[in-house]
Amino acid sequence: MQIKTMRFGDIEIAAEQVINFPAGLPGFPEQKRFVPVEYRNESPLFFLQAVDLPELAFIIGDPFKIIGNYVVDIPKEDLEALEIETSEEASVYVILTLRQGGKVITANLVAPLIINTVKKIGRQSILFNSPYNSRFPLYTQPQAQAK
Amino acid sequence: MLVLTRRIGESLVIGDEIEVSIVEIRGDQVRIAVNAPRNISVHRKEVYELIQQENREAACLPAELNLAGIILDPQKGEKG
Repeated sequence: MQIKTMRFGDIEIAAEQVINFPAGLPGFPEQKRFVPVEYRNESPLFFLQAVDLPELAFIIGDPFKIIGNYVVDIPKEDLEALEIETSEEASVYVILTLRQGGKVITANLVAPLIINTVKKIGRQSILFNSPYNSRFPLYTQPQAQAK
Repeated sequence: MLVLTRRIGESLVIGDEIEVSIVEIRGDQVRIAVNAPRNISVHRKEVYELIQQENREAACLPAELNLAGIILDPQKGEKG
């Protein structure tokens, strides 16, 4: 099927690529279908494009590759809602935010996206009593030297 | 907005599947138990609103993305 996107134009996606978010996302409760769009081959980052809202796309990343030491205890209510029974079925991603015109990039480690990769269902899980915060700095571009 | 008064041990029922009970009252704090189906998440309001705000900010991406010096616009960037 073809979907309209602001960033990539009209793109062709397969129904099997769509990940359903039955609860939407906090801030976007109506958006219940997303599709991953590759950023770069073998990159730990990719886009999560809303199927039904062309202007909505997030950059998400594999936290285990971009943070290094990320330990997450997924609440059992979220595992049950996602029908996850084994760890092979679960994938964890974090949403990235660009700040200060892109000079600072942060990852939301306290509210990761949990996806049942077999059943293609996802949910944003808000971790309780987590040592992580919602703005973990990943990268800051060096300031240009003033002359 | 419905406002009700409850004592310790009393509950509210929301719809068919959600129950909110007052467990304990100590000073200015109320301990509340929520029984809801697993697909409905329950969060402290200020935490939920923080995540909403974070998501809204994350959704604001510039048209041309520059991540670690790499142009993230697939229509203009390097192929492959």
